[in-house]
Amino acid sequence: MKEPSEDWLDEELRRLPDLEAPPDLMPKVMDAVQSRSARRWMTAMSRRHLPFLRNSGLGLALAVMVLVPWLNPGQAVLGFFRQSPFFNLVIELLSAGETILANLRIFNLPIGWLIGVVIGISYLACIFAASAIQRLASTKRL
Amino acid sequence: MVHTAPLPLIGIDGQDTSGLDARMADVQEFETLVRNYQNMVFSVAARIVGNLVDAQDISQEVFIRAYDHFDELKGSKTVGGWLRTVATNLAINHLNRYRARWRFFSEQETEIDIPAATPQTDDRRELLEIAIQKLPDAQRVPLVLFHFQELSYEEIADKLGISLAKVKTDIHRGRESLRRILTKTP
Repeated sequence: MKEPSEDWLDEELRRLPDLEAPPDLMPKVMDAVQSRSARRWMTAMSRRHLPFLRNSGLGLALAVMVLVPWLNPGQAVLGFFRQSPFFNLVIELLSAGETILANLRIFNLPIGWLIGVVIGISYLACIFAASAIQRLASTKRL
Repeated sequence: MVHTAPLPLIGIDGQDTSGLDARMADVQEFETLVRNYQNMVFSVAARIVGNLVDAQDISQEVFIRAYDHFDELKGSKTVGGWLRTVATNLAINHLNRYRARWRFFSEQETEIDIPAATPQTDDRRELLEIAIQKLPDAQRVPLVLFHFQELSYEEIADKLGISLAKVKTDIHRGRESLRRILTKTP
């Protein structure tokens, strides 16, 4: 081989062509791009039509505020439940339970007396407990 | 290779599809960009990392980033420079993940094992390409940045976070290795 000049390597490096990209690089890139394309497009569109979307949202909110009292959707929901067989079954079960409890005469007791007795017993229990604790404490000190 | 998979259509019949056409045109324009620059991007990555498999992953990442910035790059005259810079930075970042290995190699005086001239490596350019890939990271990266990216010694030192003297030494060593290999080959 002929002895090369001092800068022959620079020349060789300069003339070195680009490597050829593998054939599957482009399909891989384009697959990734296709999946991002829809998202990018949606973002661009929403950015472009932001005032329209904002005004539409506001208009829809106002329309809902007007329509809700007029259409009374709560009533419609209740009507739906009333017509539902499951809801009717639950009502039947509750009324059967009410009848059973009424027949046991538990609701015939005077409620005022019952509450008074419960409060009285609780009060006495508290006093007994407090005095017992005090007694135990004084015994230990002795 | 032309990718002809149809884009999923969004919308209902009779809707104005100009947006979709624009999107389709956008993707096709990007495809042209990839076709024009894929060899350059792949070469930059392959020469820096010295590994064709990693270079392909890096090239893919470069183009995905380019697509994310396509609005700014579209019609720009600096698109080639942008792609070259991103490919260089991603390739260097890739090597920096193995910084310990990089340091280890940078201290080694390695004898490069280049295959003898065979029918596959007869071409001198191919031999030079293989020799570059086989250089230790610490010699190959500064050499590639100097000769192919045309960065100055100072820029290379800054980019790699090493001293100016080390950059000069590593490039000199890399050049000596390449010169030795090429002069040995008839």
